[in-house]
Amino acid sequence: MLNKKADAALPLYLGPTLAALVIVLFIFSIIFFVVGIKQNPDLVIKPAAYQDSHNIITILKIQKNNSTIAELISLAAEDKNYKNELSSELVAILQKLPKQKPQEDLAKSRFAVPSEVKGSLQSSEWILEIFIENELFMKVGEKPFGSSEYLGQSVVIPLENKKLAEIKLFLACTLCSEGEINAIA
Amino acid sequence: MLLLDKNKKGLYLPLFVMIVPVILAALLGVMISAENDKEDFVGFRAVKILKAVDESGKINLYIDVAAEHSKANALKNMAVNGGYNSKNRCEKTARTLVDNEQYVIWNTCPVLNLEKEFETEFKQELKSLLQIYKSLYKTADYEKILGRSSQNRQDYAVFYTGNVRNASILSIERKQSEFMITISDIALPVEETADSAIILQPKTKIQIPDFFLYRKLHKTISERCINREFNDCSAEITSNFPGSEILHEDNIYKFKIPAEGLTIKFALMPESQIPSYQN
Repeated sequence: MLNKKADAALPLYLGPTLAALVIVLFIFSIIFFVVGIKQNPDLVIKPAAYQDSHNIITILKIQKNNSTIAELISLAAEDKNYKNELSSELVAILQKLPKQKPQEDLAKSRFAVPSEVKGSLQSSEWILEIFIENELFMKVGEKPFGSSEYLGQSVVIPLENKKLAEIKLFLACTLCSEGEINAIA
Repeated sequence: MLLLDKNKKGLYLPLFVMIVPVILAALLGVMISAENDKEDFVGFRAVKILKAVDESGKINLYIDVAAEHSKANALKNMAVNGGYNSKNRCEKTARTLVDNEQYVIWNTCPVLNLEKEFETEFKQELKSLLQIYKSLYKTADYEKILGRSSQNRQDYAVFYTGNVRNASILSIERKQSEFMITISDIALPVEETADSAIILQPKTKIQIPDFFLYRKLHKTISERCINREFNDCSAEITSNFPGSEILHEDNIYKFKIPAEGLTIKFALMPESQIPSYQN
């Protein structure tokens, strides 16, 4: 078995060859590792990247006194007497939408640790804006101080006078994390 | 060296060591180019389809609201034209110093078929509202989601807007107390995908308006105003339709009949017959 001619020469180049192989594999393992790290870190899309309009569509379809909210917007655009009715209906509807509430009450806390302070300062409000021909016609809800806008939704509906109304809905939230917003979404 | 020359099998290991870097370099090249070409996240394509579905929901809402407004506008226009559609071929009274308005002269009109007239007027109104549709669709923010800009980005809001504006009303069918309106298919191409589209087949419905007042008015006019004195006609109309205004100018009677927030307006030549009423 040991009489093969190649086996006799093997000891001469085995060491340098194996060393070269190890060096090559080592270098490439580092390169592959670096390339792997550079690849997109978030491979699964975040819920916040997709913002559908189910809330605003549902709101506009709600029936109130034989007419939908969408029809009420059209009536309010023609007759200012309907504006108050529309505003009060929208306030009541927006209060029913889920939102981020303050998580901590500092009055009940013995030690004001940073997470509790942040939790106590959290506040959010749904804001609905109606634009007619790009001019603000009505705004329902007040943005909390220092809030950012999340979960924006918008839809266009026609009015009886053949103008377009653009209705925007968004959650204005102070100190809300991405995870908390995703939970609401 | 003598041994190596004689034993070629002994060259396999060094040859292998030389080939390994070439294979690994090629693999690395493929990985890098594939990564650069990649414009997808897990769920990104699904999100694009959902966005197109969301757009279809918005279009359906727009059409539902537009249908209700078209109904109201159609009834208003019909009332101004004495029950006929606004593109009717009836003769109209001339404007005068006393009355600057024009009135459709009933005697010069074809058979009065209110449902047909309503369908014609409704179609015109709905089409005019479809033609002002504006999509608010926002193309995915590739910079934000993928960290790089995408080549050849197209504005899908323009596609969607155009497709809705070009839609036509295929049919209006009567189903019990409702009109079922069918609109031509609207294609919503899915963002950044070749040949993928959601085909929306919009349908909406409205309550059939009640034309009882027109029937009653037609009957009263034909029985109490044709070949009758103005005073008799006027008394009959005002007792049957409180709040009505009737003018007598030259040989023409002009009527303004209040009806559920609208005013039915028409004129009459009392010596000649009026067109028949068709249910």
